[in-house]
Amino acid sequence: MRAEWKPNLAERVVLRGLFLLARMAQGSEARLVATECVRVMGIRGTLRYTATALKVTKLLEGEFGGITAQFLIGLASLFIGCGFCTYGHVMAGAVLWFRERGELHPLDHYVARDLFEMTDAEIREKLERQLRQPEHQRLLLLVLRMHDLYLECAEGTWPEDPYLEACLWMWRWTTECSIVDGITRTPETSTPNHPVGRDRATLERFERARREARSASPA
Amino acid sequence: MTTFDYRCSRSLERQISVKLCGVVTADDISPVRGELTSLMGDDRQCGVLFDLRGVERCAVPTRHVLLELQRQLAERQCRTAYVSNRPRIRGIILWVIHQADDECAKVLGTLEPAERWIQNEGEERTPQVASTVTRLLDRLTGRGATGQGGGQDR
Repeated sequence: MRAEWKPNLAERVVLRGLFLLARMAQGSEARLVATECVRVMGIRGTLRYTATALKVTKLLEGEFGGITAQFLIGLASLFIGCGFCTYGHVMAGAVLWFRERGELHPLDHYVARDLFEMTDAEIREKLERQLRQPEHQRLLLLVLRMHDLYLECAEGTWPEDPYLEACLWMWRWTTECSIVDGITRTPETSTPNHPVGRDRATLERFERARREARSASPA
Repeated sequence: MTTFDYRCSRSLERQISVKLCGVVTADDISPVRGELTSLMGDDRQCGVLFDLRGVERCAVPTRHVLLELQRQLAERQCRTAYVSNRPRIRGIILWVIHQADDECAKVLGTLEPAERWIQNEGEERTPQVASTVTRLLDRLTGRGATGQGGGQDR
């Protein structure tokens, strides 16, 4: 068995800083994931990784918009298999949509849990059903394309491919560490991996609306 | 639900294929491990391809037994690829290879890239990921403006 890792003084200081930054940025600390990053990548590696992740997120938001970017990150993480990133980012997309439109998005972290148990083919069918409304067509096209890229079966090239590839590869990097938390994560224990996680009032309204909608149509 | 079944075979001279299907529990892994070890014999550094596309469910506690097996493969410096068409199972395997600190193991969604991974001796998972992200970022930021989408959710 691997010996238990004990951070040295410098690592403890950096970890404390990372917890604080995460709490300020998104309202939760992601302790397990941050600790694993520092254990695996060291201080410099973690800082380099964090700066790169922020850069990729910014690029995705710039290209696709903030809500779509969160759904893409969440679904890239789903294809890879990490619950921490899937639930955190899909939930962020759903809450941002709710805050902007005052209505629920057909994708949320509970739908993502259903997707986790499916095959790739079933996931595509489910996404096509969930995102069938015209206003979700662009997200659907992007997600299916990203899925093709993940499975290495995409035909031709799209202008969006480099962004979708960057999303997939960045979250391959992230999930190398976040999987320590993601393996047991559930929608019930998830919070948005995004600044919207600090907006408690919207989160409460979102959860209430989501529960009401689910109890009205349990399927 | 299909009951558990498996098949181990030497698919190429230096490659062993392990095909699992059905519902996998921790107890099922022990005979697989025995047969795989016997097939490997003294052949260190052979490639091992786990085809999990027929696996319908894998109980999360099974990961600890899979971890023991992966550590054994890492010790022998076997290059390993897992193929699964289910995110839940890919996640379990990602946890296994991460915990085993095995940079020569990877989980993929389709067979062809998995076979390529086994052939690409010397390539390591995390450095490959980090360098690909850097290359993609250089390409994207080198483009200057933000491409086609214009940053609007639509």
